[in-house]
Amino acid sequence: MAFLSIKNVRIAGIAAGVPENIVSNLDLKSGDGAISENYSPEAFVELTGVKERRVSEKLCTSDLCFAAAERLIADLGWAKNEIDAVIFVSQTADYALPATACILQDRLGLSKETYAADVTLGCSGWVYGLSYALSLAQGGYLKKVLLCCGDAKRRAPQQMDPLFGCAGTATAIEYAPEATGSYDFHFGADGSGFDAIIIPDSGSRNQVKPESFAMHEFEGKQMHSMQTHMKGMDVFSFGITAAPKSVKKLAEHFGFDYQSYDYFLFHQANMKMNNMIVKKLKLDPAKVPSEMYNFGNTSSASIPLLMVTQIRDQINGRKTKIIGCGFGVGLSWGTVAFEEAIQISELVEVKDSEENYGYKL
Amino acid sequence: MGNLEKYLGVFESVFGLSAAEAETAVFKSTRQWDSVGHVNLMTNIEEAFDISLEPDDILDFRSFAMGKEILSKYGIAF
Repeated sequence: MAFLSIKNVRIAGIAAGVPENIVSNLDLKSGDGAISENYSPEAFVELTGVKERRVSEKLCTSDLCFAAAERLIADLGWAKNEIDAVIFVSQTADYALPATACILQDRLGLSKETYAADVTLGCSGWVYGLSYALSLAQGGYLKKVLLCCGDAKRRAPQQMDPLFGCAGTATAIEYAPEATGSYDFHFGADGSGFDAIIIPDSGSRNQVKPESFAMHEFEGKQMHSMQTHMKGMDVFSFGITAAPKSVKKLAEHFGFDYQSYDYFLFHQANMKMNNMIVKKLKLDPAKVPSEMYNFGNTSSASIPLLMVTQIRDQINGRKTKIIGCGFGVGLSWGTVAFEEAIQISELVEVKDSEENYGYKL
Repeated sequence: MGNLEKYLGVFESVFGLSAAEAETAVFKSTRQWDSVGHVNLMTNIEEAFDISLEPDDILDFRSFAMGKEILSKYGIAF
């Protein structure tokens, strides 16, 4: 059973960056390749809960994470030479290689003695990444760790799926021997569902070839094999099952009443799916913020983005009991419970301009 | 309201189908019954009958007729 409890650490702060550019799904047209001809844009918004998204054709995930990290470091007053590690969690790295965390180390001006590594996960990525970052810090050898999570610009030019938006986040973790609480985790994975959410071509299994860009129909939409293919029903049945079970298992294993928590931060997959998860756990909807209407599904950025955009005023610097649950591509899921007073930075809106683009070959 | 009426009512509210159209409704053949529509259908079915569908049943629920069989496992008689 993949349970984990980590002590002597704390989340010091969280920041998030999004492209300044806003697009509205109401401006799409039925059957234009982005949404099925079965739906009007209004019906699509009502069914999925996603009206607006932040998108950019030029800003990479690392650009958004960089902006968030700079704001966070400044807000916390951290000295850059004290940061011992940077972990980058994304499915949209800058390059197939090298690791984006190495690029961020240099761009952020961190020491060459920095521990830097990438983690390839999507919707469960913040919870998994948090476990890596906290584990690194708990021994006291690495005292300050930056966790950068998100997804943005895709691997090939395309009209982005109207469910997805771009965001990059930064979470500051530090060694805290005086801390009395713990960060308790539950994790799971089911690779039998590897093709439920997949980009078929561009990895080693199916290398990129001219045919990779041939358009074909998938789930009522025209797309090529460098785009994300999602089996909606499989993902739906997985999400509404894995997320509630994971929360319940975590509470049962560590012996707490999950209803006593102040906020439940679920990955923002689809409004109907998330509503069903809330219903299955019998949660008070007031404790379950949503950002889908304005930001869409932002993959591993969704949970920290909720803190920045939806409950900043309520939790900023105040001890708050939070359960975070990420679930999706892999299939992979993870839940974390903690009580912490986190400094939450204001949302950073990143302009589409040359000075905000990272290292380019 | 009987269970059949309730069941037909869900298909009417979700897909705008008459009773006759609903009875022949099939996933991917009926307009709007795609994966997005399926999420909507399943949430409305759960709400209408106050049940919690198992994942396999959500995946198997691919026609009006099959749905009736699945719902019978939850004690809903037609």
